Amino acid sequence: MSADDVRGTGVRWTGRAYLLIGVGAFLAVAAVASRSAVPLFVALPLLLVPFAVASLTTGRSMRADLTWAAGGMGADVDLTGELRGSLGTGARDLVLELFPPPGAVPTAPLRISRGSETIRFTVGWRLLEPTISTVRPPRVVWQDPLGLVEQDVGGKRPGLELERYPAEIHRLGAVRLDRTITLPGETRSRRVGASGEFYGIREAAPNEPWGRINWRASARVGRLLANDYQLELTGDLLIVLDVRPCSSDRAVDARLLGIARAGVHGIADALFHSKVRVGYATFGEFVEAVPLSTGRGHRARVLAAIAASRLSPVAGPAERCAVSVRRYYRPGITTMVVSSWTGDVAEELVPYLRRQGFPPLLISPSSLPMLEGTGDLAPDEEPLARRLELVERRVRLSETWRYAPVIDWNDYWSLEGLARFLRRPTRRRVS
Amino acid sequence: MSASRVDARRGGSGLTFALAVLAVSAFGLVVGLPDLLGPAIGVAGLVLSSLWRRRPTTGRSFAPLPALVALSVLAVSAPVVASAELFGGFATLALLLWLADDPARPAGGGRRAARAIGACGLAIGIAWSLVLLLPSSSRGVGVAGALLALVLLVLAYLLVRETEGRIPSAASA
Repeated sequence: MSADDVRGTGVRWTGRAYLLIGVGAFLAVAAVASRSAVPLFVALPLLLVPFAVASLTTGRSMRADLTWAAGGMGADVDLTGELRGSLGTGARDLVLELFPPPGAVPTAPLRISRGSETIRFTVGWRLLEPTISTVRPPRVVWQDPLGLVEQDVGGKRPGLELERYPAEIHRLGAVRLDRTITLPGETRSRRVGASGEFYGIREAAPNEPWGRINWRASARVGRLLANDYQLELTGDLLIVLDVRPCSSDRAVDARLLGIARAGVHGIADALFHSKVRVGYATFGEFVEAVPLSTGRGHRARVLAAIAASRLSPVAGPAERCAVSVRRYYRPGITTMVVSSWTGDVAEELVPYLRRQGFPPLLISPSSLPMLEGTGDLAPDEEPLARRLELVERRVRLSETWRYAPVIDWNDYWSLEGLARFLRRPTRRRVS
Repeated sequence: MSASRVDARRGGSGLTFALAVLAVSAFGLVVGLPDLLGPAIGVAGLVLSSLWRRRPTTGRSFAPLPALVALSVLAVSAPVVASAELFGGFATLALLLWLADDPARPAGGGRRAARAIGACGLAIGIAWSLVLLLPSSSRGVGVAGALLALVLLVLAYLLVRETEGRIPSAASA
């Protein structure tokens, strides 16, 4: 039996069956007490029907295997699935119990089309924030039409991996990273693409962006030609995820970490596609590190480590992080620190990492959008409070700017600031 | 987070509701409460249950409660006459039929529940026939017959469940 296998259960009564039996028993007692047969005639069907339904159902064996997928873009998740198996006439009375991931709100109701062998379903959710999570497989229950007995249907039902992060991250693969260390014997890879130094001219594709068309060359030969650019992949990147509890509210911390984890997952995935060497470290009380490397095996290792990152119960000192990171990685690697730390400024990771020789870049997911409207302020006071909190946050982040560029991640579904910064690494400008 | 348990919605059949209203009203009329109070109590219970069932909450499993309370009130206050017994039984069967016709479930629930409701109807029919046909001194035989049917069904259920426990099902094999 594999981990995806769900075992079916026997028939059990629902609360409604107990309600009917309870009312029936009360009426039977009332009939005896009042010496009247009328309550007994009313009680008789109520007492009989749960047993009748259970007798007709017991012994039935159903099995339904699930295949499902998540479509949609960004925050929208369109879930489609199919249950296939030995359902028979019971297919009409199957009830699906779906378990949306945390922070998902329904946008489209569950729609089910039933056949004799298959049941297809669709449902729409909107995610409040980026996430990487495993959606639990739906519980499939057969329930009789009267709602008196039910039975869990067994079958093979895998969980669904849901990976949603800002769209800009998908385009990070073409960035040029600074401060790469070339190891002895290493050959730098080169790639022809849309950015970098001019490489050559080729036939334009039908959907070629106008900006890449070489108009002079096209005019000379009488057909559309496009420029190719050569990008020297310099990629080395160390991602440090701060998993320390950063506020008094653990639920907010967990949500912020979920957003950070999704962002880090997307960034690492995009850079792996460009053959960038990526290292990953988390810092809670201590540092846990995955060494710098590239390739499919390493990608799987890093992504699994990112998915397994959890909020640490204790916050370790920032110096410890910097010193420990130095043990695992050589100084000079571009270091992307993802931290929503809002505690003591002296405990910011960035200055310490810089002192140890790691040029950092800070991505700071903000808790302000989460806290919006949660206080007991009047509606007209809310915007003012938001502005004050924003000013306070900007002042705090401006102190970090002395040591490293900072991306203030306020809109969870956009990392345009990071994408823009990485595309123009020499200007160091973030708007 | 609480799980969402939503199925394909459809408009529930008004036919079973009308049938239940009719049966409960008839039962209310033979109960003999003053000023049409009997039908009013029955219909009010049904309407409350119907409204409860429309709410997509986890407590909708207990939606029949108001209708059952109304039926119980009518049954307790009914005089001991054969028509009251018959209409009481019919009203309960009609209520069960209406329960099977849940708007949150696929259409045709009444048809699929027909065997279970039919078994109850048969028991009511046997009991009422015995009550009607036997002399008044033996009325208890009718009630005893119905109770016997109940006990037999319980025994059948327990027997089938016991057998199922010994034979491993296909899913667990």
